[in-house]
Amino acid sequence: MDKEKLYSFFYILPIILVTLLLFIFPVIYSLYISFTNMGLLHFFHYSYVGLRNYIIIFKYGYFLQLLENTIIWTVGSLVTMMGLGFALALILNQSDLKGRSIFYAILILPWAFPGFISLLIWQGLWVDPYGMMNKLILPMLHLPTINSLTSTTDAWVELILTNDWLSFPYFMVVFYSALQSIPRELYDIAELDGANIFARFMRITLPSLKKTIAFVFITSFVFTWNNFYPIYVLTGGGPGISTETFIVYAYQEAFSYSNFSLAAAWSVISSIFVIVLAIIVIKYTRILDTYF
Amino acid sequence: MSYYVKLEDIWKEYEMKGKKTLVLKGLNLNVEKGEFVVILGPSGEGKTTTLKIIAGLLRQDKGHVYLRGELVDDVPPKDRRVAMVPQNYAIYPFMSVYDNIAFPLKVQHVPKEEIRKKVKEVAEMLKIDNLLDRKPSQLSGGQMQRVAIARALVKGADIILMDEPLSNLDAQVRVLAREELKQLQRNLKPTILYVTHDQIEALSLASKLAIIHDGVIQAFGDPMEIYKNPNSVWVGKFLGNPPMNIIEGKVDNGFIEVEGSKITIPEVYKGIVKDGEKVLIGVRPEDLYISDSGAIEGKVEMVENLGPYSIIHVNVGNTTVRVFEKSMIKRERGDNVKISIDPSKIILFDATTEKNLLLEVAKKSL
Amino acid sequence: MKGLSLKYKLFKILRLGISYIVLIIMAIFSVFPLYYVFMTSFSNAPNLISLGVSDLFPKHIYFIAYKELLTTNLYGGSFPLWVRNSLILAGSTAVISVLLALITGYALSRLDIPAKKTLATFIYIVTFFPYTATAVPLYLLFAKMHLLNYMGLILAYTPGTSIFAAFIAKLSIDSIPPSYEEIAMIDGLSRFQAFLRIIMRLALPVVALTALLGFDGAYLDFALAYSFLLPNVKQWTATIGLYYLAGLLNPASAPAYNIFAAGSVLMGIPLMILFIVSQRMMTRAYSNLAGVKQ
Repeated sequence: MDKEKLYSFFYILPIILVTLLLFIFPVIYSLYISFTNMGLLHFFHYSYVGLRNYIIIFKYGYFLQLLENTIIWTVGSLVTMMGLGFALALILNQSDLKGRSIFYAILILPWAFPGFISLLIWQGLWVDPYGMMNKLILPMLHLPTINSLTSTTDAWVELILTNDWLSFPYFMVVFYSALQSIPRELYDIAELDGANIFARFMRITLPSLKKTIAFVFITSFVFTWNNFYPIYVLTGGGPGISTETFIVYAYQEAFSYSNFSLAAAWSVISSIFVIVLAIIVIKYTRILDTYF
Repeated sequence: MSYYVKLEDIWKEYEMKGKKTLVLKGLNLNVEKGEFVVILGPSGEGKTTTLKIIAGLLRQDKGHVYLRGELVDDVPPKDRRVAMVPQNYAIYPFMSVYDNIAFPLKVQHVPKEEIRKKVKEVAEMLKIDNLLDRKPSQLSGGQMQRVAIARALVKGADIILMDEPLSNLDAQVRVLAREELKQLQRNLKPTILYVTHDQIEALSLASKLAIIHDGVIQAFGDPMEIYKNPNSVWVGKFLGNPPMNIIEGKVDNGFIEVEGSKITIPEVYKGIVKDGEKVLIGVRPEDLYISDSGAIEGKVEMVENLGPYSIIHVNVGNTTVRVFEKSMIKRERGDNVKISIDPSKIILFDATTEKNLLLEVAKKSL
Repeated sequence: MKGLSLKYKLFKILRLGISYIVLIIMAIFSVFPLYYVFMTSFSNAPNLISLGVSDLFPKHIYFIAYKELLTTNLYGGSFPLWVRNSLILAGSTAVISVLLALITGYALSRLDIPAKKTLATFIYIVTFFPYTATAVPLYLLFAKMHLLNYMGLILAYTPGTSIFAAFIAKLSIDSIPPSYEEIAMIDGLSRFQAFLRIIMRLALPVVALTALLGFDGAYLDFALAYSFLLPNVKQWTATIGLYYLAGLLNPASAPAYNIFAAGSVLMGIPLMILFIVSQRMMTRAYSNLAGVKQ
C-alpha cells in the first residue's frame, strides 16, 4: 500500500517541482527583493531598505492610478469582446443564414493568426499619421484620427479596439458551439406556444448559456487582467503612465529601467490580486468539481 | 496439497469520493489446477477486485496470494504468468487484430517467426484466422470476444482470468460462446477464474462455483450441489430464480409445524433438530406442488404465466411462497389452494444463524 | 393571414439583411490587417510613410523583401538563424509539455494520490500566472541560477501549457477504460511502459493538442525571451527578431518595413494554418472546459 502511494507520488512529483520552482519560489524571492534596493547599480550588492518600495508605490498615487488603468483595460476589453462575440454567434446561429461556414472561417482568422505578430502589425497600422488606419481607413469613414501618443482617450480606444480584433473570435466560437448545443426542440415547442423571437431569446437562449457566459467571463477577466502584450507593444503604457497596468509597469520597471526591487514590489502586489481573482474563479465556476 | 490459485484471508478497502468501503473481508479461495471456477455474486461485491488482486493489478491490504504454490504478493502483474479477458475486451483500437493477438509475445521479445506461428495457431483454433488484418472497429461483438480470448491464450498462460467476458454479447451469441468456451477449457485445460453476475452462465460453465457476498466466499463447490443443498439462507435465496422459499417453522415431536400444518422431518435431520426449536425451512419452488391433498393452506396472491410453466405466488400466513406449476390449470388471485411438500427435498436452517443445520453438523464432525 | 405572412417575410429579410451587413463588415475588419501585411510584404515600400493605397492593390509584385529577409545580415544575426532558434526552443517545449501534461493527467485520473483535489487546486492557481506576469521574479531568480538561457526559457514555458493540458488530459484519460493498460500490464509491460505505449497512444488527440499549445506558446513568446536573451543577438528568437524588424527595438537601425511584413507572413501563416487545422480539436477542448457538452 505504502509502496503504491510512493510510486504514484513519482508521477505527480515533476509537476510539483516545476510549480515550486516557477511559481512559489519566484514569488517568495520577489517578495524578498522588494524589501531591498536591488537595481542596475546594486545588482549583486544590494541591501535591505524595508518598506521603501511599497511606500513609493502607495504614497505617490501610482497604485490607485494603475489599479484604475487595469480595471479600465480589463472591463473595457471584456465587455466589448464578449458583446461582439455573442452577437456574431447569434447571427451565425440563424438556421436560414447562407454561407455560414465561409463567414465562420474568415472570422476566426484573427484568432488563428499569432497574436504577438498581429500586435506588431497593428502597431504599424496605428502610427500617427503614417499608419494605414490614420492615413486611409479613418478618414475614409469620416472618423477622427487616433493619436495614442498624446491623448489618453485615443490610447484606450486604440488598445481596446485592437484587443477586440484579437479576441472576439474566441468568444464567438465558444458561444456559437454553446448555442449549437441547445436542442432545436426547445425552440420548436416555444414557437408552438406562441413565443416571439425576443421571448425565445430571453427564455431559452440566455438561460441555456448562463453557465458558459459565467465561465467565459470569469476566466477571460483573469486573462485580460494579465494580458501584457497589447499595452506593451501598442502604447508602452503611454501617454505617461496613463495606460499602464500592473504587469506592464512591473515589466518595464525591470527591463527598461532596471529598477528590479521596485518591479519586484509591483509583482508582489499584482500576484496578490491574481491569487484573489483565482480563488474567486475557483469558487464561482466550480471548475475543479467537474474534474474530481 | 498445494492449490494452483490460493487466496488467503484477503482484505481490501476502497476509497471513493472520500467514502471508505470495505470490499473484501478476509476472503479465502482455493482453486485446483485445471478447474473452471466461476465467481458469482451481486454487482459491487468485489468480484472484479478479487480478479485484479490475483492478477496483481491491485494490492490487497492484508492476506496473501499464491499462484502455482508460490507466494506472489510482491510479484508485479507482468511476471505472474496469468492472462486476462476484461469485460470490455480492451482490444487496442489502433492495432490490427493480428497485432493485438501478437502483443503479449512482442512485449516479451519472442522471435517474429514464432509469433506468427503462434498467432496463426490460436486464430485458427478460435476461427478468426480470416480476420487477422482487420481493424477492431470492423469487428462484431462476438469477434471481439474471440480476439480477446485469443490474446489471452497466445502466451500460453495456464491461469486465465475472465471478467464477465460474455456480458456484452447478444443473447443468442452468448449461448454459443458459452458452449465454445466450455469446449476450449476442456481441450486446453487451463485454470480459469471467471467472474459473472449471471446465474445461468455460472451454473452452466462452472466446474466449481464460488458465491461471493459481504466480502467473503459464501459457498464453494459443485454448482448443482450448492443449488440443491445451499449452506445458508442467503445462498439459497441468491441462487435460483425465483429464489428458494424460506418458511418459518417449529420442531414439534418429530414434525415441523408450519402455519398449523405438520411436515415430517426429513430422515437426515432427525437427531439434529431438537423439540421446540425454531427452524427455517428452505424449499425450491419446483419441489412444491399445488394439490388438494396438500398440507399447507394458502391464498393465491399473483400468477406469473411464463409459457411452459407458471409461477404461483401463494400467501401462507405472513410469507409468500412461490410454486412452479407446469399444468395448465387457470388460477386467479384470491383462489384458495393447498400446497404439498416433498419432505425429502427440504433443507433446514438454523433460525438465528440462518446456516444449513446438516452442513454445520458435518463441519463440526470433520 | 396574408398580412401576417407578409410581415413575417419583411422581418426575415430585414433580419438576414442586417446579419449579412454585420458579417461583411466584421469579415473586412478581420481580414484587413492580414491582407495589408501580406500586400506590404510584396511591395517595395521601405517605410510606413511610403506605403500608399496603391500598395494595397498592387500592379507589381516584388520579392525583394523576402530575398533580403532570408539572405542579409540583420543587426548581427539573421532571420533564418532566429527562426532556427525558435524552432529548437518550441520543439523542446512541446516535447516536455506533452510528457509533463500526460504524466500529470494520468496521475490525476488513475492513481491513488492523497489530497488530489487540493493538489489540483494548487497547480490550477499557477495557470493564473502566465510567464508575462511572473517575468520579473523569474528573471531575478534565473539570473541567480545561471538560467538566463534556452534551458531556463524551456523550463519557464512548460508549466502553463502543461497544467492546462494536464486537466484536459485527465478528462480524456478518465474516458479510457483502465482495462486497456491493465491488460498491457498483465501481458508484460510495467505501469510506466503501459502509460507510454497504450495511454499516450489512446490519448493521441490530447498529445497533439498539448504539443501544439506548447509549441505555440514558446514559439510566440516575446516577454521572457526578450528579457533573457536580449544582449545576445545570435541567440534571439524569431519574435525578438520581428520586434526589431518592426522598428520597436531600435528605430534608427531598423531595416525596411516590407522586410518586417515578409517576416510576419513567413512566421504567421504556417502557424495560422496549423491552428485552423487543429481548430476543431481546440474548440472541443475549450468548450469542454467551459462546460459545453459537444
